[in-house]
Amino acid sequence: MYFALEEYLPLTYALILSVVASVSLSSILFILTQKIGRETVGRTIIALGYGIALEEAFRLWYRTSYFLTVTTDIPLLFWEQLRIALFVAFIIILALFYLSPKGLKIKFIEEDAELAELYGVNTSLYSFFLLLISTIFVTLLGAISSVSSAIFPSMGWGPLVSGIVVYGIASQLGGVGMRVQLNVLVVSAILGIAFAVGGGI
Amino acid sequence: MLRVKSISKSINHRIIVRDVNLELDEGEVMGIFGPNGSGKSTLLKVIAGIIKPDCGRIVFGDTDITFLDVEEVVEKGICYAFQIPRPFREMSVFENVMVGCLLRYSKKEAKKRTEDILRKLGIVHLAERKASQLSQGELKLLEIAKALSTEPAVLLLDEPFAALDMKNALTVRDKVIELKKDGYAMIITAHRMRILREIADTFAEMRGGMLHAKS
Amino acid sequence: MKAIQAVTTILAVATLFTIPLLLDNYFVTWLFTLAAIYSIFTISWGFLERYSGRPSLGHASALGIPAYLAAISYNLGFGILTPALVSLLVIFLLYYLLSLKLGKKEFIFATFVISILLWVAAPRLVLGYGDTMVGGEEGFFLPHVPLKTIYLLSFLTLFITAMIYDFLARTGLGIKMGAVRDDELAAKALGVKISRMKFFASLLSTLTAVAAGYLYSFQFSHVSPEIFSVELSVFPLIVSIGGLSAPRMTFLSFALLFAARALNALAPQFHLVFYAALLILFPIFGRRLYAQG
Repeated sequence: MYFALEEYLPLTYALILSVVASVSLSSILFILTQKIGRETVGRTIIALGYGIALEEAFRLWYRTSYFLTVTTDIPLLFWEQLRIALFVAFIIILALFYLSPKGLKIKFIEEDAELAELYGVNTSLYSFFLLLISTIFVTLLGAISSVSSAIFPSMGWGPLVSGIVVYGIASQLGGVGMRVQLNVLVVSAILGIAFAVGGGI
Repeated sequence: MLRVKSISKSINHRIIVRDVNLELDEGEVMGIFGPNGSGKSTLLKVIAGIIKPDCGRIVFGDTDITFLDVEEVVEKGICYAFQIPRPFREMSVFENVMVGCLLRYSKKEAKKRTEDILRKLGIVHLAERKASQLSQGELKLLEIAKALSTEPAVLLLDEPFAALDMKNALTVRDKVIELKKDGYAMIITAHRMRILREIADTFAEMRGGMLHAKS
Repeated sequence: MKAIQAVTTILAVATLFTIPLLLDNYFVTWLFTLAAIYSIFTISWGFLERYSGRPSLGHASALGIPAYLAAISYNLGFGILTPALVSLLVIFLLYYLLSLKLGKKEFIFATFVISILLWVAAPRLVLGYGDTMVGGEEGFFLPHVPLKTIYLLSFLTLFITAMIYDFLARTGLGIKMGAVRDDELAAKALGVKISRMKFFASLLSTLTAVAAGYLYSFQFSHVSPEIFSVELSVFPLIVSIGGLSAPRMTFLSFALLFAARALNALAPQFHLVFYAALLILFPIFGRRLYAQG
């Protein structure tokens, strides 16, 4: 949904405004999941409700079912290159996290959050921090992608479903830390190629 | 009646049960004691068919049950009672016990048998209570009642006295002694040998995955 | 207590059935029929949750697949019986295999993803006859069936479904299925055949979902991609906040549908926000559902 959110902000201010807005929205989501939801299922349902609420907010804001587009004089190739750069930056930052002393704690949380909590790891702090990082990157991706895609309130569903499918398959391959991220990369690449060859869905 | 031959089991490249041999006769009660992580629970779960061993054989009567599924092992007459009770939380105590009886008898007969089991374990007054509302001691008795509902020849009781205060531990112990008098063969695990003294006929100590007979 | 529940179910369905007869108003009959279909759909979801511990977050696909297959088959000139059997088989296999292979959490994600994929894919389904194209965003049309017929069929199906749904809990099979819902491993350790229990839960859920799908599509004489919407998928989940017995699910399905319709009439923009708010608050009320997730 952050992907969709970003697409609605004017391009000129997009980078700053979208990061500020999405950080605020992700903070609200984090508080809701911490205060109301306890387990993965509960938190998933809250996030789904939150996503629908945001989608509806955009629908009400614009009161249109038509697609919006963003035009710019900068060539499309530049935006594509920027997407690749963002991807590389994201991987490097993730790798740095996992290699740092904090990385061990993050892996501990991935393995068993309850146990990590018992051993004194501040799981809430790390969850919030990771949510923030992923929010910022998804928002930037949305900003960069806005010039090459049609924009409409429910546009977040596609990336959301792809994310669940890719991560669902990748998590079956096991591991923690960068290994999971590498699995995600491999699964994304395979599915991406498969859909490209099959003409997409 | 039950023969376990050279059973070994590794989990995550760590040997949990190492070349264990044991024999249990009809009506015999074996007490296995040992510290946490010594492999007691894993051994019982392997015998019950919940975990498959890496090697070795388990023979019950004349049947090799080593690689049978847990449902088939129960059918043969071996039932495992979990260390941390796993009740059917949304169901009544009566229904919890009736599940096992229903697999063997008609509904009418199953009801009668359920009542008998609850009476035997002294929890008939809890019959209508939801399992999620029971105390730890009551849950332990319910766990044993559920295992009894399968009409086992061998009961595998995994630390039935653990996490209980003295009063509740003694209540559970008294019920287990009654089961012994009824002729159930049992393997019971505990942290210390002392609580098993009045129940078990034979003793063994588990340490580092290995089982050593004790007198 | 259980006899009281059976009487409550009969009274609940009978009362809801009688109101349109007394008022004799086309719109009331139409709305009550739709609510009865929603109740059947919700109970179909309940079969999965109450009897196998697998709540679906994409149950709209179980409603949409039979509706779509019936519409396509009708538009291609085939009957509507074959698609009912095909959809029975497809949905049953889907639920049965997913519930066997996946845990509760994974099942929720998988059903959600499937329904969203169908929601996205449905508008791309177009049939062409010479110059005429049908399907796409507009969906497919079905033959008109008089409202009175749909009304009677819906309430009859609701009555049968609700009775089976609650009565099952009193049977030996229902108790074993309840054990599987509460703790699969513990049930297995007592000798319960998990796959058999999930077979029955999936079958009952599928049968009622296919019935609901057919009634839904013939109530509108039309089926569009919106049948796979998230709104429909989360409907049973929201209803389940009030409990999982047949009378509660029936009454709450009626209440939620009426509330959503009223909100839609008063402030058409806001009715999905209402659903979203209920979803966000769901864990407060529906704690039991995912307590052992």
